[in-house]
Amino acid sequence: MSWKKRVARTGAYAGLGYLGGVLLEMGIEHVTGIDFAEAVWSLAAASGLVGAGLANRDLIEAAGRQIERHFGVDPKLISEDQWNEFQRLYPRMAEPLRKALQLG
Amino acid sequence: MFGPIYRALARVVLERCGRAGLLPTRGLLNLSIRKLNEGQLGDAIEYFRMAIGREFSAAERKQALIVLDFICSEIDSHVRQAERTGRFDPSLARAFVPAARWHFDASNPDISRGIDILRLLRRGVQLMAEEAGLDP
Repeated sequence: MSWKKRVARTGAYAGLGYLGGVLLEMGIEHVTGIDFAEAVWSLAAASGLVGAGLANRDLIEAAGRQIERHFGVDPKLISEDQWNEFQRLYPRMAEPLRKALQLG
Repeated sequence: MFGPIYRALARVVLERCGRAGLLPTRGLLNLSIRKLNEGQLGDAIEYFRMAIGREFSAAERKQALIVLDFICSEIDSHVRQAERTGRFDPSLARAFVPAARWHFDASNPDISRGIDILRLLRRGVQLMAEEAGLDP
């Protein structure tokens, strides 16, 4: 990766939250302009998780919407601490997101 | 051109089948999540209630627990939003009988009663799940 790309990516990471950073890291280049559920769904589809039935589109959309209502920000912009809190409170709801984003 | 019409028609048929109890358990649970996404908490709980009134396979049980988590989180997130912003999501009132809707109206400055009702609703959903053998 060229230094220009690296600088641009670092800048984008700084402006984004934890999940936005993960999306960027996984190859979604223009995270700020796209719908969270759409981005996660396309990643799940690309990695073959959809076929396995691990990531239901409606579940991802519902989880994203509830993160937004919980923390008052776009799900892409939540911090790692907020994500960990969400996982602790609702482990089953965080599961489709965790699997689609291949987190821990 | 006819795509959206067919999709709308399919949704109506799907919902009718769901209400008539003709869908399999997984279909009812999927409809419950879809209703949450459409902001219809009351319908989501109703489909969940219909689904958990049946015999479960292990996979259906797991899915029902996921849906239970989503419904509880939906209720919690409404409480959080009201505490943070001082008002409820306008769509929430539709989940309740007309007599209780005032507590969720955007022009009502007192959100405390609405929050109490939501907490009672959450407890009710949990009790319903426990009675059906779903132990969160």
